[in-house]
Amino acid sequence: MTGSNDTVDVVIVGAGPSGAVAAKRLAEAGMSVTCLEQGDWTDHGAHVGDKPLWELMAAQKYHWRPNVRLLASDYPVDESESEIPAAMFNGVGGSAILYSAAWPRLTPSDFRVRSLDGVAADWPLDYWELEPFYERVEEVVGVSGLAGDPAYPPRRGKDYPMPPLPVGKTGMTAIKGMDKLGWHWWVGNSAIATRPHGRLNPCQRIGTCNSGCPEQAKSTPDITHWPDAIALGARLVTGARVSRVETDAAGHASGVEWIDRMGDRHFQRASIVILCANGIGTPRLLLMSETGRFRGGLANGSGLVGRNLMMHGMSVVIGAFEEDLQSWRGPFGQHLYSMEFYDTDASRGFLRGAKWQLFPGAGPMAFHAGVAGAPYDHGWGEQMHRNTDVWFGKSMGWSIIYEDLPDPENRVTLSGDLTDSDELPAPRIRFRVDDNARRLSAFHLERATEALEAAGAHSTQKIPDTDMGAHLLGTARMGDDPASSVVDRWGEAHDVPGLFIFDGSVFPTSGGVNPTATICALALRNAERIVARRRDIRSAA
Amino acid sequence: MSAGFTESQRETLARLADILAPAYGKMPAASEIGIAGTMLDTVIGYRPDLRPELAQVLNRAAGHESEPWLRAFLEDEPELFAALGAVVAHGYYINEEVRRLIGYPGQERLPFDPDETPEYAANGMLGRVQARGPIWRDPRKGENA
Repeated sequence: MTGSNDTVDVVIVGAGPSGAVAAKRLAEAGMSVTCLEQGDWTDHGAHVGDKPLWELMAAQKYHWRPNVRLLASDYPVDESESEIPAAMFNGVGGSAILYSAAWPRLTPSDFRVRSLDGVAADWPLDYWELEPFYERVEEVVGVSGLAGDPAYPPRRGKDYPMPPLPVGKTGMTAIKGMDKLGWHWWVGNSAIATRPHGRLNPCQRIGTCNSGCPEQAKSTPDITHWPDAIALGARLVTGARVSRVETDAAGHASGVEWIDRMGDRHFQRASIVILCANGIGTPRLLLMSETGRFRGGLANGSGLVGRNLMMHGMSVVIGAFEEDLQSWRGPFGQHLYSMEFYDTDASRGFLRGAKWQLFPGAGPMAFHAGVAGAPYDHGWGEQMHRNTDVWFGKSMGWSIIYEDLPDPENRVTLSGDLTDSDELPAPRIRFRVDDNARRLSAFHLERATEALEAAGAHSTQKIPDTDMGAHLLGTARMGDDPASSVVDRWGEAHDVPGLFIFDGSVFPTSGGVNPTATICALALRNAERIVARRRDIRSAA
Repeated sequence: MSAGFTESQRETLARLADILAPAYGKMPAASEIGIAGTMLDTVIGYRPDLRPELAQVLNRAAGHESEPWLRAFLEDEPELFAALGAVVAHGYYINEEVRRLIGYPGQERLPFDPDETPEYAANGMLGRVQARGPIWRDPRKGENA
């Protein structure tokens, strides 16, 4: 093993959204920062979103699932016991490289599920404590949107940095349906530029957000944060796969062991270790870091490392219309969203709710039932052409992001037989959609169908529980009680001083919205805490 | 760009593809747009991961190119069928003539003016959402704000 001569103040594992936010802030404060990232930089100019090959490449090279991409920089995920597969991306920018860039905040009630609904857990902070950090992150990230949404408390600070994206023909059609029903809708808030903003270019509505943006309009941390962090002195090492977190004799985090692309092992000593490796990668690393002192995994005195995995099951209703909506036009993620059924209403027979987000129909392959695995008669022969006639260019859908309640049996463990390219054990995930979520999903599918029919859809199709678990949350829960949480309210492990977790693992509950805005706001808040306490942080032994 | 398939394999692919993507109304059959020629070369050129499985399919399908055989193959070998289906479907919808016929220009750049007043703001629809008042649940009260 190659030792590191330099002890840094902070070593960060993972260069995705939380790692990027932390690195930039800590480097700004003059701290020495090294980030280790197992993937690579993305060449946005090489994205094929504006080329005919887009859908062909999105089906493999830019696929959401590492088990489909099969890149050496990814690690495989054992999904044999999971109803929903895992979606993520390993590289500078993390899974944001392939996200839809929807940028909602959690709502105030999301922080108080135990108090309000008697289930799950409360967060050790509330909406208003996080609010200023949401706002600061929005400015750096470059969020476009429209203030005044009655589904949220009034913004106390600045407006969104940029005006919202156009909703297009699809959005206006959907709005007419929601207006007819008297249901809530609002124009999407997205980490997509509508004006030149820092290094971001204005969106050109290419519409391939989820497989990469060739215009460099979609905000990703490799564009918005890393160049600044590096200019401020942060060191970012790609192709660096962390295999263990180490502790000193006093039980303080002392650094990490990592493996380069040649298979050589290194040790990076640091006063602080921050894990930003997502809700699967972080518990995997903690479990791999078991020692005689830390049996069952590092920082696992509560036994909760890896437990309470939440993945945001997503159900979808798509509708077809007579009118040519040119529904391949972007942006893809969310033209609109609705919070009409977001919160608990006991009369519905389930707890919590879901955000809906309206997406346009996308390219012709999106409607190829045969390629999607449908029976022969549904997707091949003349039916292939009929499907294209009905759906392509004339459709839209409501994605229903429904809240998963934490279940300790939904969890990340280590696979006994599957390994990555460095022979490290792959994570094994177990995830079951519970009865509450099934009732919730069924209710929302019915309501979203009504919304599309009110907008004029002549045909609709419900797709419950799509095969995408893109929001990886909850597996190292934050809380005040070390017996029922892994990290404290500032993201520091109860059991291991100097070990912090800043990614979505720390969410006590998932909410029903896309989590990246909250992950980034939490990372900034917790980084500020480290900066404020820097004089108290002792050097690792 | 050559995908490394024999003429015999290409002929088999053309016959299978015409069953999966036949002529229909104004739409051409897959073989008419070169599915086993330039389109195959293009698809495999960018997705070489599909090549081994497609070769397996074509070798097994030779002499059996019929809809019943394809139906049975989908049931028995869904993963191999998926490789065949991907090559045929992607190759078909990448084709310029097919795109012209379905009215698809591809994912074009379409600049817009972000300061233009949106229709939903001008026609009062946005105002009606606001007029209905707050709908967020205030945890300090336990009810809607």
